[in-house]
Amino acid sequence: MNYDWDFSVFLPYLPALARGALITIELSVISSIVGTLLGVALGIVYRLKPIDRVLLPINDILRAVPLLVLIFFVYYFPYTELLGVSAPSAFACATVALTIAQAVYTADVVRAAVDGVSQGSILGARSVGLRENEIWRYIILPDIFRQIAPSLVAFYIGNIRMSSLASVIGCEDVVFVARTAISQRFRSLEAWTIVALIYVILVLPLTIAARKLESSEWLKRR
Amino acid sequence: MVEATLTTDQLDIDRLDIHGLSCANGPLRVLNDFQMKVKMGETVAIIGRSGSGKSTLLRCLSLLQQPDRGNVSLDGKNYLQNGKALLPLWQVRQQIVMVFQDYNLFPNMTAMNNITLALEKVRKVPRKEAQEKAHKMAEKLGIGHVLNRYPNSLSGGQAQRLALARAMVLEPKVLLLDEITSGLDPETILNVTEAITELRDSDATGNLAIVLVTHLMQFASDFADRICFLDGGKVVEDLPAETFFQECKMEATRNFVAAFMRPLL
Repeated sequence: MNYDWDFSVFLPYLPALARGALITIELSVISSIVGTLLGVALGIVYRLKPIDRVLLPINDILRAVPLLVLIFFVYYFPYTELLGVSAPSAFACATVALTIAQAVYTADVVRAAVDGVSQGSILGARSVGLRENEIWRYIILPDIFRQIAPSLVAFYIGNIRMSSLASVIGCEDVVFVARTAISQRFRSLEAWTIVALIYVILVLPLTIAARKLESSEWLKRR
Repeated sequence: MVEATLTTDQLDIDRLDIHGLSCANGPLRVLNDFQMKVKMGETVAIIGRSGSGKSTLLRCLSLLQQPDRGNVSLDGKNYLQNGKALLPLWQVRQQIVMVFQDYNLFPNMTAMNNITLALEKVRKVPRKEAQEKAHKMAEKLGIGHVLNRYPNSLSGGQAQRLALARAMVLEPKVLLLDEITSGLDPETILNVTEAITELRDSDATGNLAIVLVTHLMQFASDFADRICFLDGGKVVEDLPAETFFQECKMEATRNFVAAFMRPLL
């Protein structure tokens, strides 16, 4: 029993794989940043009554939809017929779908974190005359970020891995390049090993950061 | 901004004049037509059973809790009329500052930033000047060496001193102290009470009024000018601190005081 590994057939594809990895990074970074900002804002809005009654179920529905379905939904949406605009690129569709996924998950943890903000420090802030907007900026939001930081890093790791689904609509990420190369060279195992390595390189720094964060002093200051 | 109305019907203006203050916590009426005056430079200790409305009184005075009815004036100007605030809340709270039993510090900030935050953001004091003021106040309270540390690394005594520094750096007209020695060991209590005494004595204006809630009878009698006993949401006994324990006449007060004197077993 022996398997004859041959990575050399993929050497010509390395530049394309590098470009694919760059697209994976772009997809993940844009959707993580925009999704986080949107999620924090939504999470705070979800605390407002009575809009929470309408918005929370929408959030729950979006969280229940698999990312692959969400990507298809954004990609096959009849933009021209319903909005009168031309259909966006596969990259844009995948970014939007990933952003929505990041936003709804973030919103849910932020919503719960608002309840967990130390009431003592809010009272302390009011007692020295800070106004509500200042209390949000200097006391509540930093506390929320400390609470959600470990979850956020986990979401970011998930986002990088889930971005591989973008290839199904033709977004030329690292998985798309690998599938193309396999169809031309017929060596799946080597190609997927390279792809796995690329993902490990992208995800590992975040995993290390998450571990450091768990034991950091910064996280305890709340 | 609503202009405060003047109600100066006396020449000797009281720093705080509380009139008909009522406040309910749910169905429970905690303060009931409460009356009290505090002069400039005076320290008044409020004592009473748990749940008698002592802390609610302090929260209502700093408008951290909304009273149902009543008027309160500061230096002759009403800031609360018929239970409604006449000034923005932040403006009142910069003049009537409260210090809590649980310190209520900002855990995400260094001790220095805990002290300077309100100075910089509300008073708009430039950062350097705010830090100088914070330094002076911290030195006065014996916590100058912990200014770079975070609240979670401070001892109870240091945290309470930091809370005092955060309040006093604003140079308030009225300082409200809500059981600031609770939960501290006897040595730290001494440490904190000495600090607050020194702070009051070194007040440049000599006009700082202090209203404190405490269960430490010794602290009340040594530190305050007057002691008020609260029962049923009202002051039922108001006497000079040095004679309070000998001269209190009401049965509720005598029972309360006797409970402190009596051995536990």
